[in-house]
Parts: sequence; C-alpha cells; structure tokens
Amino acid sequence: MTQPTPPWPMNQWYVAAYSSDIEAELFGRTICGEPLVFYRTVEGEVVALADRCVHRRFPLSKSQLVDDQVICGYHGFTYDRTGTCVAAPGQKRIPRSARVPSWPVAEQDSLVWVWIGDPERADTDRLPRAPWLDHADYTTVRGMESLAAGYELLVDNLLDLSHETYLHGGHIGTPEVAETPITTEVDEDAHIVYVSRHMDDAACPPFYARSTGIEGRITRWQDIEYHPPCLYLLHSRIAPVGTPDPVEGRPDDQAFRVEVVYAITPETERSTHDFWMVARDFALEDTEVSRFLAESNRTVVLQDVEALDVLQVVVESEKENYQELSINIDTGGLAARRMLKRQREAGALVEA
Amino acid sequence: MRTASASVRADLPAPHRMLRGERVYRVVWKLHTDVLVGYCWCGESQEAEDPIELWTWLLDHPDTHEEGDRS
Repeated sequence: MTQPTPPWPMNQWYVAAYSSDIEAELFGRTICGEPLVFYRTVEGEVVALADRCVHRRFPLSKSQLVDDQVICGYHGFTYDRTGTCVAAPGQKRIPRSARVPSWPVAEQDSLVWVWIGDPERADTDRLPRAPWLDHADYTTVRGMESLAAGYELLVDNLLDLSHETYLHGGHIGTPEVAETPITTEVDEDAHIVYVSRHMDDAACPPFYARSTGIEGRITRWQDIEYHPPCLYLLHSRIAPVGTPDPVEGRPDDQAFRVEVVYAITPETERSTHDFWMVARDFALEDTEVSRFLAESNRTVVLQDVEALDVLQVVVESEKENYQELSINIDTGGLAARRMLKRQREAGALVEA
Repeated sequence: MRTASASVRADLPAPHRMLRGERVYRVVWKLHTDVLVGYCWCGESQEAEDPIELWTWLLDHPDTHEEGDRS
C-alpha cells in the first residue's frame, strides 16, 4: 500500500538548529512543514514538541516555559517534555487526548537534529557526522539564511561548484573551478554522493588568500561529500603550488584545511533553512580571520540565496515538462537528485 | 580535440578513489575531452558524452546485478 510521495524524504534526520540556538526558552521553527517548538530542559536535554496547543492551536513558541513545562499563552494548557498535558484550566480530569506530539531529537557536533517520520524508527546511528564543528583543532564560524526556494534547488547549487566562477567571482570563484573536470562517486549502500575537483595550479581567491596569507598560486582541492537529504560537507584543501600531496598517516602541515558544511533543511515546499558553517584548522585564535571568513561566506551564501529565490519563481512559472539540459558538470547533481527521489519514494511506502 | 587552458594541467590523473563501499559507482571525466567514463561496482564500464545517458546505463546494466556479483 502506498500513499502520495512526500515532498521531502521521510524517516530522516534534519538539522533544526545550532546547539547554541536552543536554550532554556521557547524556540519556534518549521521543519519539513511541521511547526515545532524547541527548548532545553534544566538537565540540558533538547525537547521538540508540535508548536500548536491541542486546544485552540495557539503557538506554544509564543507561550511560557516554567520548570521544563510549556504553559500555553492563550488558556494555560500545560505540557510536560513528552507533550502530555498535565494541567488544563478548571479541569479536574484532563482529557486523554490532550497531548501534543513530541519529536525525536539528537544533538551531535554542535547541531540539533530532529527526526522527521515515524518516531519508532528514529536511529541515532544514522546521524551523519561533521566532527570539525566542535573540535578543539578547528575554529568554526557559522550562520543561517532563509531561502525562498525549495531544498532541491540548493542541493543542485551545492553539488555543482562550477557556478563559483560566475556567481561568486571575486570571492571564492576563479576560472579554474569551472575549467577543471570532476570525478563523481556514488555509494548506493551508505547513501553518499562524492564529487572531487582537484585543481593543481589555480589562482587563490580572496576568501583563501586573505585567510591563509598565501600570495601565489595554489593547489586547490574541493571534495564534496553529500549525505542526502540534509548534510553537505565540502572538504577544501589549499596549499601553495609545489606542496607535496598528502600521504595517509603523515601530517599535511603545509596545507590549509577548511571544512565547509551546509545543512539543507526544508521549511516548506518552497522555502529552506540554509545553515552554513566554515571550520578551519589554521589561525585558530585569530578573530580577524574569523570575522573575514564569516562575512565572506555570508556574502557568498546571500549571492546563492538571491539567485535561487529568482530561480524558484521561474521554475514555478514554467510549463509542465520543461526540458533542462545537463552537461558533464551536472554528474554529481544528477546523482543527488536520483538519491533524493528514491528517499522520497521510500517515504510513500506504508508497511502493511 | 579541445585543449585545456594554460592554467589547468589537464593531464592530471583523476583523484584517487574516495569512497570505499562495496557498491560504488564512479564517473570520471576523461581529460582533454567531453567524454565521461562510468565504472559500475561490478567491473563494467561505459563511455558517454551525456551524464543522463551514462547514469541510465550505470543503473540499468546488466539486469542481473545479484548478491553474488558483489564479491
């Protein structure tokens, strides 16, 4: 038996927030069409409940948190961390149906993940990792932008970095990015799409020149590791031309490593939370480098946001069955689309 | 034949295999050309100049990818 294919993969973990966003106060955010309210308990555990009071739908995120319980700001229905209503105005007995759904949450690598799908199937072993984000050997800057476009447009954008040359020239793009062939790998069992672009002799864009201090040409490696649907890792290695390639088990200390991480979380069918993080293994204490990388990456992300917001409007106004053209640079993006489609189709299957 | 710009060493070998799983599809862009070479985890390979055509081949060939093929 099947039901309609959902607009995003179900039974998956999605990044809902940064750990630092969730404190002992109510935090509302819609994830995959579900309005949710998050908070951190006194013990430090993150809770996610449906952001609607069961009584008259008032948003719990506009309510009060007292002793780890949410008191609805409209009529005072009070919910514990499991979503069970423990008090209702004037009632001696609380109706059995007075509860709001709670959502499985996991916290790892400074990210708060929420499980969208059947709570019984939530499995923290399936959380993809981004260990740099809270590792002592790295310093991370981060932000989040709201995209008025569907998540698949952002996946397309991030899987084909040849757009850096044209959309992000003067920041992270140089001619070599678009000119250098890619290699694409797809692991069917681990659900990973990997796209490598290794530039042997490239101009150093301002993003890396100013942060690393490299003045000449560079060896620039971009290795994308996408874990559909949500987590995107860009392993970036920058080294002056002539630096030996890394050898497993030996330090690669002439090279600079930047781990660019995106979490691509659908908000609605036509809006996306675009979480971006830049972790570096150099100049760890240098606040000026942090400021520069944060500002530069935000500028780049906003260039993408502007382009994708336009694209969303264009795509929506198109006739059915518009035929796109795909070329070699799209090999990884096509693989990601296919994997997402399969994940969505799996969400349409209902066990008998 | 297309020539690479002076700034790109187009004779670079393709990056080493990155994913170590049992069922990994690999598509390499043949240097100096517009040709893609697709390698299935079963050992078969195919060339194409259209990534959609190549993925279609990788996923559809042969129709006998059974458990025993994985070894």
